[in-house]
Amino acid sequence: MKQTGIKKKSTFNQNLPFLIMCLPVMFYVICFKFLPLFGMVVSFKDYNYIDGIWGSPWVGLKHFEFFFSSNDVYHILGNTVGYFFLFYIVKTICSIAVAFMFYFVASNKALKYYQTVYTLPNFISWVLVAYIAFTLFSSEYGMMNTIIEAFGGEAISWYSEPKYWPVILLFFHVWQAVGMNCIIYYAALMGIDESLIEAAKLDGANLRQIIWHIMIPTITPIISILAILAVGSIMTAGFGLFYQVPMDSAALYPTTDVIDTYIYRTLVSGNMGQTSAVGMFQSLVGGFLLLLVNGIVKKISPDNAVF
Amino acid sequence: MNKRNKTAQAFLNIYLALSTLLFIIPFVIIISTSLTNESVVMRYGYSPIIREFSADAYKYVFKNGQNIVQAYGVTAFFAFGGTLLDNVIMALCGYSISREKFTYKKWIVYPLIFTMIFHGGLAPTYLIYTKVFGLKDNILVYFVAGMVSAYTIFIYRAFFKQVPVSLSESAELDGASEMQIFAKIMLPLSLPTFATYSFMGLMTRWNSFETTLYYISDKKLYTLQYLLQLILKEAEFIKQSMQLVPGSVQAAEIPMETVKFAMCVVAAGPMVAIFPFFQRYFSKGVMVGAVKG
Repeated sequence: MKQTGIKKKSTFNQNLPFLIMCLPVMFYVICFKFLPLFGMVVSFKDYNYIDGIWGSPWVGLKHFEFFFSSNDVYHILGNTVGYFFLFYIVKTICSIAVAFMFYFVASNKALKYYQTVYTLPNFISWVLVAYIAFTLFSSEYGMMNTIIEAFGGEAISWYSEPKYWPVILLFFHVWQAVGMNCIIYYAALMGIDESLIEAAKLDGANLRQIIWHIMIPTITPIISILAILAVGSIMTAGFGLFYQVPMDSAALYPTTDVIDTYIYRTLVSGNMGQTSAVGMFQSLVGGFLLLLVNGIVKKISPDNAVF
Repeated sequence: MNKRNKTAQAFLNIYLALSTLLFIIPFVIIISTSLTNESVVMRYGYSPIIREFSADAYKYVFKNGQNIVQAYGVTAFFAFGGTLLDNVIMALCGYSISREKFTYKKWIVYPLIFTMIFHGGLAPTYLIYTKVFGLKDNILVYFVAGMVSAYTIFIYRAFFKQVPVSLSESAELDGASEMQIFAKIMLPLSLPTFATYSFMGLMTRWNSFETTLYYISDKKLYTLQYLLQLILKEAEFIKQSMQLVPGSVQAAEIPMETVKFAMCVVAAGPMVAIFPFFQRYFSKGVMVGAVKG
């Protein structure tokens, strides 16, 4: 009895300094990450400011039913998932293409310049990207309309024509991400054993054969693992791009509204229960997808698993 | 391989050099427009070429730049302060869960993993932050929002795990406490990792507008990016920030279009010019994030 008491005490003493070191993070996690999880109860309540989070009346699944029976649900979820796949596929293809081009550049100075310029958009905010989009698409002074009119065409009111925006958003997403994204594939290419390529050349392989039979197969594992992991974020479209670049223009919602912008607008309208319900749906779907893809990656390549 | 083929190299380099214009011209358009005479902009639209030079827009911005100066102050304060605080506590936590001796570590690790999987969402977070912690219109919200990433903590842990155990053991024999080992040995060793994640954190904070959008309505607490998006979206905001009465003669004289872009250059320019010099830190961070170990 006494023995175990002493033992327990000494393990505790051994752990104490570490517990103290973790204290700031744990304090933060409990207050600012876990407490909001309890706040999710407002998804099942008609929140009002007087009764507060705990006092407001319960309404069951009303908010969920409202969201899933509204007309918005199809275009919002469709846009969110559609943009995810569109963005991911185009971005990956572009990044791999750029990585290959970088790989073949002989001059180190030139390569350094290309890499620096390509990564430039990664350092700017979505607000600045919105400015750039505005210089191109402003209906009064935008470059696009200037060019169209110079060729005798009719000016387009870009910020009220939803049909152009999938392409515009795709362009800015890839524009912003490609420089950083290609680094991963470039590093994978740099990791290829030179002697393998030399041997293939001695056997008379041409460049296309080397790319198809040596280089592509070497980077395939990393491409597939990153793709699987990416599916975990299918439900988070990214607020910055979709809120800032279309300048929150209501006319564009059919093609620019995604779950994150919808949640923000519902919050602004003051309907806490509704906002929380949609957010809870997003969090649950995203969470389970992440668990799923992490489980898959853990089986194929444990080193790449997130946790 | 075909690195020695001159024609192929020439084509590749011409193509890549032309493609870099896609990344440079957008910035040139913004800078050129801010330096062009307002009436020329009205006539020919935004353009990468300066047809008629004029610094009028900048004169207005510098004469009435209190908003921008204030936003610079707020942004710099929380971006630098928040990032430093964030990385110190994350490194502390990452170090302690890297140690074998810490037998209770699962009590820390599992909750952290949980935060990576599920989050409360915007509305519950908003309610708890404002109602329970009173963070509405409070500068502290900038420190709290987006702090502590479990992912980064695990990267710190992976780093500290690589450090040979003999290092901390010999320090222990000399009577150093865990805190001393961390501060005197581990933190200096982790400086490259620390710098990488500090720069990434700094960039994220500097470029964020969301926190202001959700929690701040007090003009004194606006961040640069939030101020910028107001300038872009609301022409009236420029007039207000110039402290002129809308509709008055003076207000009508403001070169609105060019002032918009001059403000953009003044507010965003310095950091955009500085960040690329720290590119290697970001590249390193991307690599670690993509292929751990």
